[in-house]
Amino acid sequence: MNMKGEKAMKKTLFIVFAFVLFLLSLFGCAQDTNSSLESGELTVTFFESSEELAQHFASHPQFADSTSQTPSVFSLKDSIAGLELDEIKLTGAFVYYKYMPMGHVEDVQKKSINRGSATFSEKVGASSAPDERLNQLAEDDTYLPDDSHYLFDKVSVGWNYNGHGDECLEDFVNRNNDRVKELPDCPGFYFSDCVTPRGTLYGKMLYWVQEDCFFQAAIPIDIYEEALAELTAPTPVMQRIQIGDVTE
Amino acid sequence: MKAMSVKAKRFATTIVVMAICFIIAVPVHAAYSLRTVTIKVFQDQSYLDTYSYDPDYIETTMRRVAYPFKNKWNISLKPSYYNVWGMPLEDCPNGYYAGCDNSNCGSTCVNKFQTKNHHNNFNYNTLFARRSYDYVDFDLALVVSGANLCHINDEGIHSTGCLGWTTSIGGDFMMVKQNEDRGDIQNVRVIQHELSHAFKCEHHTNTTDCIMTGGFDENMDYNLSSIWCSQCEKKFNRTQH
Repeated sequence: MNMKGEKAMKKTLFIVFAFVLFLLSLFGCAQDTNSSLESGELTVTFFESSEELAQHFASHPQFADSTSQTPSVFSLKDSIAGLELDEIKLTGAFVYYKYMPMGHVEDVQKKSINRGSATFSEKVGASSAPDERLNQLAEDDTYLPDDSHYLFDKVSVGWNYNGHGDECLEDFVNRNNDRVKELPDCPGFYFSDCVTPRGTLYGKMLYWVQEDCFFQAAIPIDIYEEALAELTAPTPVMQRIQIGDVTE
Repeated sequence: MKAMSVKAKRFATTIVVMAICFIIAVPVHAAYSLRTVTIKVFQDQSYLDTYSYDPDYIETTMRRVAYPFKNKWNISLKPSYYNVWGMPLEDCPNGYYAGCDNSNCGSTCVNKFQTKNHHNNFNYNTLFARRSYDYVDFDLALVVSGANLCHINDEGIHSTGCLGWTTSIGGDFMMVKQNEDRGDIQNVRVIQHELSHAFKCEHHTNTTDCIMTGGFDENMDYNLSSIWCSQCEKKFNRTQH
C-alpha cells in the first residue's frame, strides 16, 4: 500500500470513529430525555391545627425524609401582625400557615361552589367557541393588568418539612440572585420585592433557615414592617413539635 | 520534525472534530433562541361561573404563568382562549382521604373512566376534553375548571386535593382546577407545575425550593425566573413541543 492509500484509509477510519462518537453522544441524550413516562399528582391537604398536621405525618410514613426519617413540624403563633391563623396547608414538600385579616368575611356562595355543594348538569355532546374579548387581549403585547389584580391581604409562612435548609436557601438565592438579596441588618434573612407590571410594590417575600428548615413568608406591603419585626424577633414565632409526642 | 508536525495536526483535528460533536450533541443552556409555544386554553362552565366571566382574570393568570418560561427558557407562551360547554362535570362532596362510599355518596369511588356519577371524574373529564375538543393546530391544550373533581390516586387514596393533571410526562394536554379559596398565586403555580410536566419535569422529593415540590405555591413574587431546581432544570426539555 502506498503512502496516499494509507493516508486515505486513516482518514476514513478517523471519520468513522468520529461518527460513532457522535452517535454515542446522541444516544446518551436520547436515553436521558426518554427515561420515564408516568403521571402523578401533587395534592393539597388542609389541617385545623399543628397537632393535626403532626398526626397526619405520624400516620403516613411516606412523608418521612430518607435521611432524617422525621418530617419537621412547627407550631406557629395564632396571629402575626394582627392577622389571625386561618388555615394550615400541606402541598408537596412544603407546609404553609396562612393568616387572614381579622373579621375577614368569605363569600359563602362562591365557597359553596368550590367545596362541592353545586352540581353541573351533564349535557349531551361538547362544544366550544372562541372568546373574542380574551383573544384580543392576548394579542395586545402592550396590555398591562390593573394593579388591583396583584394586591393581597394574607400573610403566609411556609417551610420544607424535609430539612436541609441551608443547602435549599443557598441554592434558591444563587438561582435567583438577580432578585433575591440579603436583608439589611438581619443576617441570614433574604428578601425579594413583589412588584406589579406597572411598577407598584405590593408585597415582599422573606426567606431564611430555622432548625435546618427553609422558611419563606409572603407579606403584604401595608403590614410589612410589623410582620418583619415579628418574624425576625430573637424569639422565633415557630416552635418545633416532636411528632413522636403526638398520639392519634 | 515533519512527522511531529503531522502528528500535531492530527491531534488538533481530532480535538476540533470531538468538540464539534460535543457541541451538537449536548444542549447548550446559555442564550436560548426564542421558541414560541401555542397553547389553547379552554374555560369550562364551572370556571366561567367561578370567575364571573371576567376576561381579565384568566388573561392575567396566563401572563403570570408565562413569565418564568420566557425569562428562564426563552419560551414565549401564546395562549388562545375558548369557552367550552358540555363537560361531564359533577362536584365531589367528599374530601381528601374521606373516600366515596355507599353512606356518603351512593357507591365506592373506583378507577373507571366511565361512571354514572362523579367518581374519578378528574381523569374522566381530562380524557373527555382531550377527545372532544380540537387542538390540532396548537402545541399544547389546557382546560381550566372550577369544579371539585376527584379521583383515586396512585396510592389508592380517594383525592379531591389534586389540582392539576397532565396526560403524561412530556404530554400536550393538561387540566387544572382553579379556586378562589386557594388564591390567585396557587392558581398560577398549578398551571406552571403542569406545564413543567409537559416539558418533561417530574415530581421529586428533593428538599430544594421548586415548582415541582410545592415550593412556590405561596410565593407572591411572580417575577422570579428560576422556579425550577437544578435537577428539574436538567430534565426540562424546551424543545419538547
